[in-house]
Amino acid sequence: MSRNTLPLLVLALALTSTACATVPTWQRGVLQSRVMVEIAPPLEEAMTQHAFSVREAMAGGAGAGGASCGCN
Amino acid sequence: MRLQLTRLAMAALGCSLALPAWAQEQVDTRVEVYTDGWITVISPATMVQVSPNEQWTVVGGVHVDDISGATLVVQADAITAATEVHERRVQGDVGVDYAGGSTWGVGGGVYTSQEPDYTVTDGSLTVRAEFFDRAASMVASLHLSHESVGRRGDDDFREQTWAQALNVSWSHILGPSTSLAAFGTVQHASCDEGLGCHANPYRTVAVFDGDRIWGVVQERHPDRRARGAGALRFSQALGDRAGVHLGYRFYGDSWGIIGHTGRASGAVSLVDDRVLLKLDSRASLQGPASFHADTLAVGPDDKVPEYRTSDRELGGMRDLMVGGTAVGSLYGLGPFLRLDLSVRAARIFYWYPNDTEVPDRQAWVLGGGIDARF
Repeated sequence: MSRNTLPLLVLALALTSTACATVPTWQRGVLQSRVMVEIAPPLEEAMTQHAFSVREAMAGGAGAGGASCGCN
Repeated sequence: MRLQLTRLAMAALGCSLALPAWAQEQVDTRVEVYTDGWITVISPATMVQVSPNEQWTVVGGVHVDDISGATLVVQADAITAATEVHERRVQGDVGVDYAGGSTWGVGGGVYTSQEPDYTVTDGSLTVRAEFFDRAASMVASLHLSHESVGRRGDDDFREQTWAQALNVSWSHILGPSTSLAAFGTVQHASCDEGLGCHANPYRTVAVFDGDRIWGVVQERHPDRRARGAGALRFSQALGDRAGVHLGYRFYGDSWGIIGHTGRASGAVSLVDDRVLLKLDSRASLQGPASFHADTLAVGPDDKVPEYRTSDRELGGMRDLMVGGTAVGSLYGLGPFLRLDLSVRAARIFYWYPNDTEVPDRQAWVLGGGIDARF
């Protein structure tokens, strides 16, 4: 087993094992609190992502985006 | 829970199209100003969501970038001038989501971005589903996009790009206060052979013969580009009034660019949820494209390198962002279930270690908004 394969297997095992021990819905309330779900509101996050996507060559790959960087 | 999981997935994707992110009608309007000493971008934007019934949700938005300032002109590997720039980009998107059942839905969306010399149109289809008693959520979207690049003063110039992308995210509740989201994307772009993918039609590069400038030629990139990225995002609530979010993203493409991005953010809720304070930080490290060279040299028989660029981003870069947002919320005011007023400030630092002629930059991003929920 290669060194790169091991972390992936550990991650897969962690995900699948927690799937077998599902957290009851009545215990998930805190996950819906503002500090969890409003950390990156869609519009604010889209504007942040756009600001980086026009200035980094690695920012793409998740759909199209305009240029608007004024960057020669 | 469906909405919350979907929202976590969307946060991982960094997209906002075609999926319900809120439980009620909502109008979010923001204005942001970006300035780095060279360029100033004023960006008003608004996003509207309506849900006419439990099955259908429609999300639409408009975003304008008004750009002004001076931009570097790099000729013969030296900054020779700073030209005045003023242009406007208008972006619009609309998406529809249909909840076919309590644990699955489908959606679609269109996006367009218009500038005088550059247009993008993107169409997408999305499927989402929940598993394990809604402890896990999967979102997959397929994008087809078209870019058209023109050149002011040259009506005959037109470069086309077609691109396809597949984005998949998986969000999982690991515990009562812990969740993990994974995200992957692959994209392939096919571009016209004239300048290749994403080349700047106004940019030229100098080609040297020894110490002497042999000539100045148009920038040219490869006409194919395959990209892939994978990301993880870990979220942990600290009690019911604070939370931290840690993310990492790996990027690689067929041009040899390798990138790493880390992000850490946190939020604390005060005064019975009437004040929300958020801190956000992001750092990225990006390697150069395989065809980037600090100095381009003419080959035997006066042959110009097939691919050449002076794009500072393709030369490799690093950047760092630190910022914060304060949100004040009013509940039950008039017709609003909730009315949020927010202000945001962020500082961004850019370094270009492989391009000695281009100065490092420091930028401010200042903004504010009103987010109304009905």
